[in-house]
Amino acid sequence: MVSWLLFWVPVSVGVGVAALWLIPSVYAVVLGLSLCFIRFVWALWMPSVSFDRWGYHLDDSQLRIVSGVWFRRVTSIPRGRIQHVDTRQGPIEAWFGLTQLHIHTASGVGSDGVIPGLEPQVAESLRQQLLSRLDEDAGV
Amino acid sequence: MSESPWLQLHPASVAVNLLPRTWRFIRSAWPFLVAMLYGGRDGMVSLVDMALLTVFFASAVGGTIVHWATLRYRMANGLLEIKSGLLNRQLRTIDPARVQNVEMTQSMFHRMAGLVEVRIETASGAEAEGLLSALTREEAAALVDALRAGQKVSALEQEEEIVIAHGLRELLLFGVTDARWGAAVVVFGLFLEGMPFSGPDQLLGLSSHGFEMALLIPAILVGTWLMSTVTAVVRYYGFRLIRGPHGWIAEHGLFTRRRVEIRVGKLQTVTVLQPWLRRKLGFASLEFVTAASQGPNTRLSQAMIPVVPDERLDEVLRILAPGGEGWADLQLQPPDPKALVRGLVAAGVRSALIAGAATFWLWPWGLLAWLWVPTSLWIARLDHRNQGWSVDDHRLVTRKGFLDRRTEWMPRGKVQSSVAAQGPLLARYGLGLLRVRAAGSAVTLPPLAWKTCVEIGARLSKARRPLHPLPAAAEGEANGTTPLLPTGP
Repeated sequence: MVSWLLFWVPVSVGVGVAALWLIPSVYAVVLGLSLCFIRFVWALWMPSVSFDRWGYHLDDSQLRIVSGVWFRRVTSIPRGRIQHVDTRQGPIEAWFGLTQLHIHTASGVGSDGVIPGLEPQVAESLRQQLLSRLDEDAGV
Repeated sequence: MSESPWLQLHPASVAVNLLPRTWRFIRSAWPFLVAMLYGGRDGMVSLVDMALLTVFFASAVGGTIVHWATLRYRMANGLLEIKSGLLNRQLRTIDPARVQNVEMTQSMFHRMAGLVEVRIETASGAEAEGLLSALTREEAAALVDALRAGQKVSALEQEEEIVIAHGLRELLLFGVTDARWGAAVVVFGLFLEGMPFSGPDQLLGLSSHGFEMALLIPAILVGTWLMSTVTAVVRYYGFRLIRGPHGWIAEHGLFTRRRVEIRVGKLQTVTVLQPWLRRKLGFASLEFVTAASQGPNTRLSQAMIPVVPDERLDEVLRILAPGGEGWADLQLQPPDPKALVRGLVAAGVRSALIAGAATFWLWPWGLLAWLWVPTSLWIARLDHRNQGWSVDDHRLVTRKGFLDRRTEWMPRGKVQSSVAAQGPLLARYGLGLLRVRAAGSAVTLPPLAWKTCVEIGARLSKARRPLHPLPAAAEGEANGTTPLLPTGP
């Protein structure tokens, strides 16, 4: 909802204004309002569906992360391969008191896995568990 | 070379580096230079243009001199230290145990000056972490020995032994089967870009020259093929694969001689390249990737063996990549049968778009392009039949392609992570793609049933353990039926 307010409302206004040069003003206003409304419905519906699809599972051998509504992903990361873990918090997450974990291996793709929306104490506990196998063979 | 004083690059490094650096600058800025030289009034170079060129050249000279004057290296406490920079000073420390491979390169300029460039690569980034651009051969050998001592690698009881050596015949075989058709598309694009179009009328006028345009395409393809053959011969001239006491070594190059040494056990993936023509001629090419490669999306092979006869494939793989044996008896499982439908739809849509574009641009000769549609459907079918995969306790193998067959092999012990992915189209067929990442490379299995993708991903994360079925709960997680730990509200 915050991204809708901060991003899609200005974008919809911009699209409507830009369309004034191409189509009659009534249609331009309808276009801007339609875009704004569609993104509003999307912003209401998508986060709850997306939240339902996010999850993680840590066992003795690996961390598994599932995510995605249209594009599903199941990421498996062997615990012994974790090189480092980043804890990140943007301003909106700070407002809601949440953090996200970024898990890195030696694969060189940036984050191999991301777990968003964790409460800080849960994130810290998970981070400690994930880093408990740093002395294992990194496989490089 | 224990704890030694700081050492410096050879003074000739200024000259040796300046020419390639200038050439690199010209290569990257040629459109700007051409515009500068021919874009002025009456084709004259203005004073401002000359001043700009002088500044660029002076900065290249200055940068090279500063690089030579400030770069120092030494082995201290068993670690390689390299410091450089005048205003922005940098000290880099490299643990020899972390070194993936050491490469020694000699360009023409190096050879004239009797020098060697040493590149030391770890798994940490896209570029060589240690680059010493001009050392004498003795200095380079001393440095490599010091790094080996730091790696604590026990030397095998054997002298260097040449396993494979290529003559001109092998290189020509490799070159003619290594055509990079993407280059032809670029050449064709540049040609169209260079045509004197000034409006839609002139653009449509091109259709009246359909026959000439239709002849141009094979001409560009043949030119690209010849060019790629010559490039391959120059790059791999004098190729030798050597089994050494510390690992194995690949040497090649006509103008720039490259010698890369890779320790056994550092390989992340091995790719066997067998395009249709190579299969008919009875050989394959091998590509080796270590963790020093540029990342899974921009992979760069650390070493390539251009020609390995089919009958020696098993032997060569056994020498270079322990665990790679049994190639001849490789039993692969087929992709999911539903993947054929997906492949046919994708090939049909792709070829129809190309044929439509060709018809528009090259009327009426472009109509011939519609013959490509049934051909591509036939190739898609053959592609599907040639795909396969296998996962056992020691390795992961995946094979793709009929015309351009690639078989990739990754040791189980090198798996870093895996991602099973499914978009809306794959979901429609109940399929998924499993991408398995190692350090610096990744392989993707052919389309499989979604449940199988998830299950294999989970098994691979339990590397070097016997395979066993996933517990029922974990299977439920994979299918989304059992809730996992939710993220925060």
